[in-house]
Amino acid sequence: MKGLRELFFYLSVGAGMALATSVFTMISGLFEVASSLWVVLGVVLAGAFCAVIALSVGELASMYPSAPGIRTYLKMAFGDQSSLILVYLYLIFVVVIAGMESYMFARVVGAVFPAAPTVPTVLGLLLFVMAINLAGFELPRTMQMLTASGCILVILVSGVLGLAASKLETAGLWAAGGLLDSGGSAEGLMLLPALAGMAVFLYMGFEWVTPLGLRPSSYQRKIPWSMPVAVAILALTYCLFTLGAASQLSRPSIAGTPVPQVLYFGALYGPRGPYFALALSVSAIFSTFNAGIMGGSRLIFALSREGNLPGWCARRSIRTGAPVGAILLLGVLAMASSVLVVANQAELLAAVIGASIICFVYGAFMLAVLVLRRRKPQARRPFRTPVAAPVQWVLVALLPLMGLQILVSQPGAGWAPAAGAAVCLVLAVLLTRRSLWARARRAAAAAAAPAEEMSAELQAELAAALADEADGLSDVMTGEIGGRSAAVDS
Amino acid sequence: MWASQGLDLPGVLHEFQSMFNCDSRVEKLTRNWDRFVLLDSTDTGEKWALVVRDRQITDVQQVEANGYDEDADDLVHLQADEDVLKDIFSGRYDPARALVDGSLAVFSQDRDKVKLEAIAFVMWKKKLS
Repeated sequence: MKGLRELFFYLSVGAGMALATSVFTMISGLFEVASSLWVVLGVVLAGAFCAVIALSVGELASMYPSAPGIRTYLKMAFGDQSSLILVYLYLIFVVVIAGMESYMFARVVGAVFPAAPTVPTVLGLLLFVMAINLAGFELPRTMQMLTASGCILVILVSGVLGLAASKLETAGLWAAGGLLDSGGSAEGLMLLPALAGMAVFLYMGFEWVTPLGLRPSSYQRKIPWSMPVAVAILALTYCLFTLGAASQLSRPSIAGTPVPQVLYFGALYGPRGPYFALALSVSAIFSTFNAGIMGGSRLIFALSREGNLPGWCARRSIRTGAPVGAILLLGVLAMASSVLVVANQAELLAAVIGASIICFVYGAFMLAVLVLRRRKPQARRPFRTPVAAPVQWVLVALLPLMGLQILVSQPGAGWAPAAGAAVCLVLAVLLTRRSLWARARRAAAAAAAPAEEMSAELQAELAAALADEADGLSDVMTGEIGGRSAAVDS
Repeated sequence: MWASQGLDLPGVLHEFQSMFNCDSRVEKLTRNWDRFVLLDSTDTGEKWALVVRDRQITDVQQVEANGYDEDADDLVHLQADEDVLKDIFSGRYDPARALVDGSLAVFSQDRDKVKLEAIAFVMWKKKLS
């Protein structure tokens, strides 16, 4: 794979990771806050921010090609502790969104097949994706490209068709008065930062392409530029969907459902519409989940091998090499998150908390670029973001503020988003403290124990692991020994 | 930080080859995994390759600058300083950690990365026992 086909692959990964079923829930949430013109402005502004962020991530990726992005970039820029807090926040975010995403999928299934029970559908989907990853299957690149481009094409075409057959605002769709159906421009302007912050959610995941470069030269231009281009494609897609939906459905009906694409496709294509929505969700969720579980589990595996998470998180299948411990951990947490979201009907709350977390993480990426330019001015950078440093500083300051504003902008949500985000932060800090404590303990043990004793202890663990295998766990290796030995050797 | 012990890179790789080829776990892991593993020393510019065929490393060869097909499906390209490569292939530096530290880059399909980490993992265990 090379040339344009290679670039197309990176675009499909960046755009495909972002284009999940839950983006429609966020669009519904945006309509809850403001009318369609402001929603479009928010989506475009968020797209512009994300394109700038993407260029910064491109510079980081060119410095550390193929690295597990978030952990490496932030560790190099801010050191271990701050990096770990952000990495754990990011993992919590992945779990929250995985739960929400599977619930949204179940809602789409329920809209097409009303008798389908929600919880079994959610759990069945997650078990299926886990099983695929545990078995070591990989979605072929061609399939990734087809599903992502197919989804985008369907949404783009539907947006255009919706606008062409406008039902609601036919005469005045492009007139600001028609689109600003509630609230004046002053109110809209006040809400714009929060709208843009929420809309950042629509693009998140574009950075998952960074470890996937096929060759060193990919990090000079293709990977760095694929991200802002993917963001631009997504911005166009979401804007057309938003305008198309606003021309077919009333604002309360879009805001009143977490799966507005089902209503919209129903209005556009008649009784076949919900089936289109289901097909769209199936292809979106399959590629997102597959790549998400694989990428997330590799991050957990790496954290475990660093000694930050327990050794069992680094268990691997001896047959396929799949990181079974990490996949199971991520899968089980995603299932728990789904059940929580389903039980509390908390899909929008999850999306808002996720959007807030991602604003902080993206702000940290941008700061990392500026810090590394000062700290490692001579480091090799095959790609440098063309965005001027002052603009980057503005975004570094703006993104966390947007993240905070999101938490108080949802009508009727009260303090729940802020409380939820606080819980996530406390959890991330506790996990970081636990990691640092465990590593310090391990290092102290390694320094204190004579080498022979340590070796005997490790050999005892090895014997236990082999005994496990004899009991039928022959496919699984224990990561504890590798983690320990890493500590001993270092 | 990761000083290797005495051997040069080809020496380390030949030692690794011997361990690899007599490890039954590695044999299980490399079923249907025929690859050309290219080791690219960023500081010296030297390139070496491990040729994996039928669950064995059949050859350790020096490679010229343009002596490989960059687009080959079976290419797994590792890039790092020579000392880092020596430490990884002598079991002193976990490749998963090297990736996180930004001192190793791997260009391949995702599953190949997973496979490499698993192979290294098995070799570490072997070394400990």
